[in-house]
Amino acid sequence: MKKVIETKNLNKTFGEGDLLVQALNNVSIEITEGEFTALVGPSGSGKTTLLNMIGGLDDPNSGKVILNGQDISTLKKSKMTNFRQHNIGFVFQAYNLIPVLSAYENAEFIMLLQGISKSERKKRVFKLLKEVGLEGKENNKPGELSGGQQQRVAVVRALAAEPAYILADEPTANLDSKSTTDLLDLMYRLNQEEHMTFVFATHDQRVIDRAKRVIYLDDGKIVKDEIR
Amino acid sequence: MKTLLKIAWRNCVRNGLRTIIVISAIALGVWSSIFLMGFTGGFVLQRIDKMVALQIGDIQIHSPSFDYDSDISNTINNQKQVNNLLKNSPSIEVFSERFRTEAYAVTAHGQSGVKLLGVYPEKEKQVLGLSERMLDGTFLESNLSYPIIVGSKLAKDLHLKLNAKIQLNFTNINANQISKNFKVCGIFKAGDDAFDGYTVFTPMRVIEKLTNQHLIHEIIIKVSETNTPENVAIELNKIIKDNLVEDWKTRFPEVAYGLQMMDSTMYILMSIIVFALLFGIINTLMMSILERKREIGVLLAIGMSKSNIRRMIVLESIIYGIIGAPIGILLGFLTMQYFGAFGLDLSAFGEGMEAFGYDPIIYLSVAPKYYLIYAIYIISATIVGGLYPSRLATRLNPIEAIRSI
Repeated sequence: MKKVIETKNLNKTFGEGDLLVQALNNVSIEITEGEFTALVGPSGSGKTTLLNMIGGLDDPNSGKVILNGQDISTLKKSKMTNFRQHNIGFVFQAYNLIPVLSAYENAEFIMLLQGISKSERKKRVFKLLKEVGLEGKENNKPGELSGGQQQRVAVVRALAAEPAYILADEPTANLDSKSTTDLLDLMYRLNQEEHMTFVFATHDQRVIDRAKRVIYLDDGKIVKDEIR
Repeated sequence: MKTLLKIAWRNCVRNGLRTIIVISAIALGVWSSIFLMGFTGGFVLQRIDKMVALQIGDIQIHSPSFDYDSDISNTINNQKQVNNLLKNSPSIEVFSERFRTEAYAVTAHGQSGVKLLGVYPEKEKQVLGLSERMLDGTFLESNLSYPIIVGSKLAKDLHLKLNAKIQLNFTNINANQISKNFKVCGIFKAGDDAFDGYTVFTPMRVIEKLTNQHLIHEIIIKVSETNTPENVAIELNKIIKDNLVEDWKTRFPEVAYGLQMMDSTMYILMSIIVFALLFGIINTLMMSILERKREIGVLLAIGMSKSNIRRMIVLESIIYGIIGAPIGILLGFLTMQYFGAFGLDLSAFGEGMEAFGYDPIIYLSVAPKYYLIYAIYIISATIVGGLYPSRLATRLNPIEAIRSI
């Protein structure tokens, strides 16, 4: 299987002197296409730092990050934005849509940045919104949607751009249990049917229970890598 | 760009109240400064127009040495030739020749130095509008042997009324003193104390009788409507060699200076307002960015470039200006039209203003170019005002921004 995420001996520290925090300590992971993986650990364990690294949002002090075959340390900052746009889908905690745009406009946003044609955008957005059960909500603004619905629009936004993988940072943190189950069902289905790779950073036991692989982090180190 | 504009526009609409406040501030600032500019402009232009129309004329001709030595012998050179040239010039509507000397006036109530002008009343009336500014009597339309008209300030200082006696003393070309009693046949008011307190007119025939000579020291000219004093003066200087031809701006630079001052005042006024608005815009945008930290973080994370984020924020700023400035300019323009036509009556406050040559009714006026300059100023200010906040936005760390509440 194709490796979509690979890190080698990642180190990252924050602060200096007595306040120095080793956020990541020699972290090496490999994630292949089609995985459904959760990064788990207590606050301060380094999971968010690791997620930022594999999301191309932060640079390590040492070590290598290879995303979708590209060593990103060789990319300039400006190219990095473009790389993220084309390769990485993001789903954040709830309420992360652009409030002034409708569900449809939010969903097509990344494709707009990519320069995809209007007809293609329309085709993909309608198909995906239908798939996630948001048919008829195209013109609603995020404020008119429930947290679960908003999060599904965010998944559509990420998917529509056809990324190599999707990173989800605490995607269920603000959702009730019904919405959480629905969202996880949706992501699981997309993973099974479309082989979309998902990586979660999460505290949520419900997410951990559904993951096919769980990487446990503590004090910046991988303490356990469990494949189910 | 279309998407950026759409987002920027909706961001403005989203916080409608704030947008309305910013746009109103811009419109109000622009309107109020246009009003002030119109006021200043009207004030100054009116005073200058009045001075030119009542006291100076468009162009004056003197002997080149007249300014250094206003001796009675310093008359216009080649009078006949000059007279012919002026008569034949199509750019001149009318001109008036003058005898001019310093004299000493004495009445039963006091004395004062005066500028005595001997004029041809009919011609003088056509060049200057002073005959329409008579408080009492007529502009030398008199059968008296020695008629004189005086300014209102002088009349007040020397307690002169119609038909009052006034003795004038001056010297003739041979340095012999001439002393003669005149009778006041009119009192004028140009509205400028310096002129009204110092100037007296008598018919040329009286001067000729007293001096036994035909002495012309000054020619004042009104140019025809299609010409400007500046151009005609240049033209005349080419053909009139041995005399000095000066348009009013050259002759009275201190009056022309008023025009330049006005121009500077306009720019200063505009700059102050634009500067104040600039800070208002920066403040508003910074507030709106802090409120939208999370959103901007998301945009950055999902692959919107920093330059596009900056553009989006500058666009928001420009939207404020593009709506606010025209509203302010339109309001300002309408206000100018109204007060330009009907005038702003300041007579309730303006008792002292007239003493300095200002009218109590100000007809507001702003040159059209200022509207355009102002619009450009404001739009530029909104661009500049958007730059700093937009930089602030792109310095956000996406992940931290997304997690901030």
